Order: sequence, then C-alpha cells, then structure tokens
Amino acid sequence: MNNDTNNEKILDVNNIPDEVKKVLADTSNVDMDDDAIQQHPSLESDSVNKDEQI
Amino acid sequence: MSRFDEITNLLKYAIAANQSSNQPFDEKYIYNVLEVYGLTNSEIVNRNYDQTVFSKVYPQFANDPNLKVFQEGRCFIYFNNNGTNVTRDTKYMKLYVSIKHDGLQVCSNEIFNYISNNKMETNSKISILDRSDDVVIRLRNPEDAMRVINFINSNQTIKNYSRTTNPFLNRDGIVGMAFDENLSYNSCVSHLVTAYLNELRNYNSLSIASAEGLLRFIDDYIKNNLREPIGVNKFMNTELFQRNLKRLSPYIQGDIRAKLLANFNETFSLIYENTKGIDNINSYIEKYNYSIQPERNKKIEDYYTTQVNAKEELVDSYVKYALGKYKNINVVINCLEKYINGDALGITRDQDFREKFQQLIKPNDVANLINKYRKMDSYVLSMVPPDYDLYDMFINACTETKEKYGNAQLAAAINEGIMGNYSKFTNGTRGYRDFMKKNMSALDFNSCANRLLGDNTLSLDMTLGEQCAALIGFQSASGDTGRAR
Repeated sequence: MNNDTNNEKILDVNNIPDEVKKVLADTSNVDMDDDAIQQHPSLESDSVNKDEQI
Repeated sequence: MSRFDEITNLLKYAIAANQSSNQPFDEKYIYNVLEVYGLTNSEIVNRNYDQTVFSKVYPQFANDPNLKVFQEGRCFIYFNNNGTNVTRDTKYMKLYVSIKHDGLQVCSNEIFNYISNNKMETNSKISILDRSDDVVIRLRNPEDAMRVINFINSNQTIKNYSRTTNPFLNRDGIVGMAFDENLSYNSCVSHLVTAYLNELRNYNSLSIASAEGLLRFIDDYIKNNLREPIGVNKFMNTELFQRNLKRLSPYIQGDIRAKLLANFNETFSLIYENTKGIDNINSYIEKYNYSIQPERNKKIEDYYTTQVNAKEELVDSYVKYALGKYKNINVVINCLEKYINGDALGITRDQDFREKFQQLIKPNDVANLINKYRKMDSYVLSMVPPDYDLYDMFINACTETKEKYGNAQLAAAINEGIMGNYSKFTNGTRGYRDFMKKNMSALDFNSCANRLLGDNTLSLDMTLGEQCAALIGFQSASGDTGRAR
C-alpha cells in the first residue's frame, strides 16, 4: 500500500503542484472512449459473415 | 463531505489546475481530472503503464473454465467469458472500484475469482495505468451485481486498497455504479462538465462553479439538446456524437444515429440522477432493469428516428406549402437553389419557415435533398391540382360530400373538420380528403368555413357544420354565395 501518501488530501484545491498540473494538461495519450465497452474488431468481420449466411 | 461538496470541489480543482486558463476547457483535460480522482499527488505524478501486471495476474486464470483473460491495447487487461469474440449486446451493469496500484493484482484476483467461481456473465477490465476507474466490472445479471457489490464491500483486503470513486457515480460502499451501453460514462460526464465550465467562463463566472449549478446545467442541456429537433441536430454535430458515430458504425445495425441518441439520452439522464448524490442501489438496479426493456427502447429509438429525420421533414413541409403558395414547382426549386447559394430570402417567412431553415437546415442539407424534389415533381404536382386554392378545394369537397352522402353527413364532416379531422369528407373525384389531410391545417379549415358562412348566420340552434352545409349548393367555388358577405 502507498502508506507514504495516505495522508495527502485528495484534489486539494490549495495544493496543486506544478508536476500535477503538467500531468493533467498532457492530454496526448487520453482516449476519451477507453471507458466504453470494446467490440474487439479483429473478429468482427467473421461474425458478420456468419450472420449473413444464416 | 457531501456529494455536492465533492463535485463542487472537483469543479474548483479543475479550474485551479488548468494551465491553459486563456483557452476554453477541453474535454480531454476534464477526462484526465476524472481519471485521477481519488489519487494522491504522488500517485498522479508517478503513474505509468505497468507492463508487469498481466504476467502477474494471468497465471491465476490461465486454466479458468469460465473466464478468458487477455491484454489488448495499451491500457487494459480484460476478463470476460468469450475472449475476443465480438460483443454485440452491450447492455451491462457497470461497477467501478478504484484500487491503489500496488493492490491491483491481489484485489483483481479476489474479485474475478469470485466472479468465475459463481459462473457470472461478465465483460470486465482492469487498467495497468493507475487511475480512478482501474477496475471496471460489467455484469449482465442484477442479482450477480448485488452479490459482487456485497462481496467487495465485505472483503477487507479490497477495502484496504480502495480509494473513493468519482462523485458522478451512484455509490454503495467502495463500489461506484453506472451503465452506459455503447458509450463511455466518464466521457459523457467530461462533455457535460466541460460545457458547463465553458459557459461559466464565457460569462467570467467560473468562481461560482458548483454542483447545484452543474445539475441545473445538465437538466437544461438534456432539454435543449435531446428533446427537440433543432437541439438534436445541433447535438449530432458535436465532436462527441460524431466521434462515437464513427467508432460504433461498424458494430450497430439499423438506424445508428437514433440508437446513439437514445444511448446519450439514457447516459446523460443517469449522470443527472447520479449528480444529485442520492445513492441507492435498489433505484440503480431498477433504472437498469427499466433501461433494458425492449419495448421502451424501441419507443425511444422511434422517437429519435423522427428527430433525426426532422430536417428532411421540414424541407418536405416547406416544399408542400410553397407549392400551394406559388403554384409552380420550378419557383419552389428556385427558392431552394437560392438557399443553397446562401440566400435565405427566397424561403417564405410564413409559418416561420425561414427562421426554422436558418436554425436547422444547412445549405448542404438542401443540396442533398433537392434532387428528390426535382424527381418527385410529378408526384407532388399530382397531389396539388393546378388551380390549387384552399377555399376552392374546401367548397368542392363540401359539394361532392353533400351530393354523395347528404346534408347531415356534410354537417358532421365540417364539425369534425374544424378540429382537423377530415375523415367524413369524400375523397371524391380529386382526392379531397387526402388533399386536406396533407395541405389544410385546422386553422385553414376554420378560415374557409368562416368565409363560406360570411355573415349568413341562419340559426343559433344550428351547429357551424349545419349552417355551412345548408349554404353549399347556393354558392360558386369562387366563394360567391349570392348573399351578403
């Protein structure tokens, strides 16, 4: 467990280090839809063909 | 801290931490803030993609008969029943647990062993990057969800490593709850929070950002963007909608735009409810059960199918109206061509057509539709007689109805006609009933009836229909009753 950080206040408006601001400002790796359910496209086409045959 | 306090604090934090204060807020930035909610500053700064997680977690489930475990993409390890077989039905209950990264392996073993041992239907994942939603459990069965929630909340190991989930989720103990079908719940939260903060920013009012204000904003946002055609069409042009449309197009059958709108409506409404912070696991499960009823879904999708087609319906109704007004299809086409070229003055202001066009219809939309009217030329004209005039049609419809069915029938037809129901009129030689249904509003009908009546009030004991019917046969189609007008 992160015992060394347990006493830190969460989202402390009065204590936002520049390093944290920098992390939040860096949106280059943000995938807005990574929270959504995945459809695993690699096998999608096979499945569609199966449906069409039926 | 109350839920409202938590959300207000999150908003103020997002404002204070924003390094680009001279720029509008960005949805990705807000998504980042949500992603690290509950993490300490040290955890935020030290985050990285820990590629050792899979090798630690996988052995436990390598021969599991109920769960497939695999890593796909940069961030997630999946736990589901079917491996990479396509997921078509996406209506799952969604549980979030925020686990400190050093407890991720032990906690995910606890959780997914429980799910596997109880043979639950699931499509879940954990994140190798430390984040607030690093354990996301999707379950099909509400009873399973209840059992998993109870299991997690009574498991001391998991509790020891847990952090608070983001405040836009319904919560039970350390578990956050939502459902989002094909969308990302947190992405939708980011969209709404970003729009709210940018509205405040435009009014130099960021200092008053609050959960109460956000709640009102979300309520208005849903009403303005998902409840009437102009708003719906505006919403369909947002980056959020277009991005998801592109992402989901290969997987969703039928009218994808209508389905997506229904999905957004459901998710935004759930965010609104959850923002109130009235946690109740039973109401959450009730909402989920309600959301998966096929009849209800069809009804909502049918509603949005209508909304999606609103543009075409508006242009259709304009063409029909303008044809009646100008009596020449080429004049109508010319007005549409002018609109395509940026001149809206050709569109009549009658019935607010010009204003509606300017709000809802882009020149390009008309360009996409105009060939339909060129091709439908003969069809449309067949519905509108060349000597088209509402009053003439009214008189002729009355005359033929009276000749065919008698005075009483015509009186009844007129009495219902003033309420917009033309079913008692004969279709006759020129399709009167169909014509009136398509071209004559109840207001138009009343106007024609009053014109016929003029000041010829025959008897106070007679209905309007009876009085008009009595006059039919004494007048010409041009409206001359031979009596004082």
